[in-house]
Amino acid sequence: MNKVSLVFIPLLVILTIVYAAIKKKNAYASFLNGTKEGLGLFVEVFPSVMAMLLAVTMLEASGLITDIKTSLKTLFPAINMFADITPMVLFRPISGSASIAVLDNICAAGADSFTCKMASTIQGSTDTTIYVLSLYFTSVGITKWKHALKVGLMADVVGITVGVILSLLFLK
Amino acid sequence: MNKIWIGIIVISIIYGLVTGRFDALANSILALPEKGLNLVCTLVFSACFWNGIMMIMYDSGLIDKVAKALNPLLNLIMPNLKDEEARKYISSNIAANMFGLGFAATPSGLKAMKRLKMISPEDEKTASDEMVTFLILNTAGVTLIPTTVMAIRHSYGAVNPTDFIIYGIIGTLLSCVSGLLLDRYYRKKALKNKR
Repeated sequence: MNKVSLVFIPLLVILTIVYAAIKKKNAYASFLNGTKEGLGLFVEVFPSVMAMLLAVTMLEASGLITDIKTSLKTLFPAINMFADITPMVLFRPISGSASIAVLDNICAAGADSFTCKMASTIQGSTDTTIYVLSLYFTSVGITKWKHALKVGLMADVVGITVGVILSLLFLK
Repeated sequence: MNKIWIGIIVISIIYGLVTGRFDALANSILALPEKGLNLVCTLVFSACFWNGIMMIMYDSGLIDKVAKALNPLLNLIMPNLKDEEARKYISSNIAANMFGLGFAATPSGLKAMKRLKMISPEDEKTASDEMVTFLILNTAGVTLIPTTVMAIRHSYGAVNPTDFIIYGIIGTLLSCVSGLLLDRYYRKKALKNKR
């Protein structure tokens, strides 16, 4: 099963390039354009990543997270492995940069650890719901969101639950 | 965001100082610039690469093909949306989201919102049903290739940085489907209450 996902990436790249060649398009020029366009992100993304990294690092370095984790572990031993990913789950709907910063911390401790795999799965199956909704709605001046927030968050809960169950079953 | 940010930092630092973790605090603050640069490099340069690949797909018309393939699905999800322009923006927004390139998806997403507002039957400030469905599709949306997560895992030397993506896809699919079903449920409920 895991081999399938390894084949996926190179296959996608070759499919894209071959398709462009068949259609007689200049794939090389397109690639340069796209990559160049992406560079603008550096200036855009760097400040918010720095800000979130500061908050997340302070949470970790102050020992606050570690202490909460240890007290949780003594109270509920079963919660053990979820303690590490709780901050990421809490940040996920609000800020992509913050949840990525937590994920970065988790995976820095062990890129092949179960926690890193589970966190990656959850990151892949959810989105920054609150942030996206406020960005899109405010851009067109909408203040009455109907049930969008409620349903978006419920869908995230489903994504997290499925992510946890699947990683427990297959990635442990 | 401002309040949350300040709150987290102030509470953490006070807690750290009270419990005597001076070393850890000072050292991690000093290490921040380098750590930030590394993380942003991983994020941005992987995004650059995939944006390049996606640009080939745009220019060769592959994205349009994908968007066309999504058409029957879109009919099923938003049967009342006949506006061609809005549909075009929505499909390319979904296509970009599939690559985990949320930020690259934003321009077409905002255009879709603008178009949806123009054809909205609701008043100025109220979201139309199509807007709600579109945003649920967007936030619960299917991410086929979580490019940023793979890049981070790769940078820390994971043996197989892609091993989780199949489970991520299943998770995102189920979350998307349940989001759309819940959307229908609440819309019908609101309709009933109106009568």
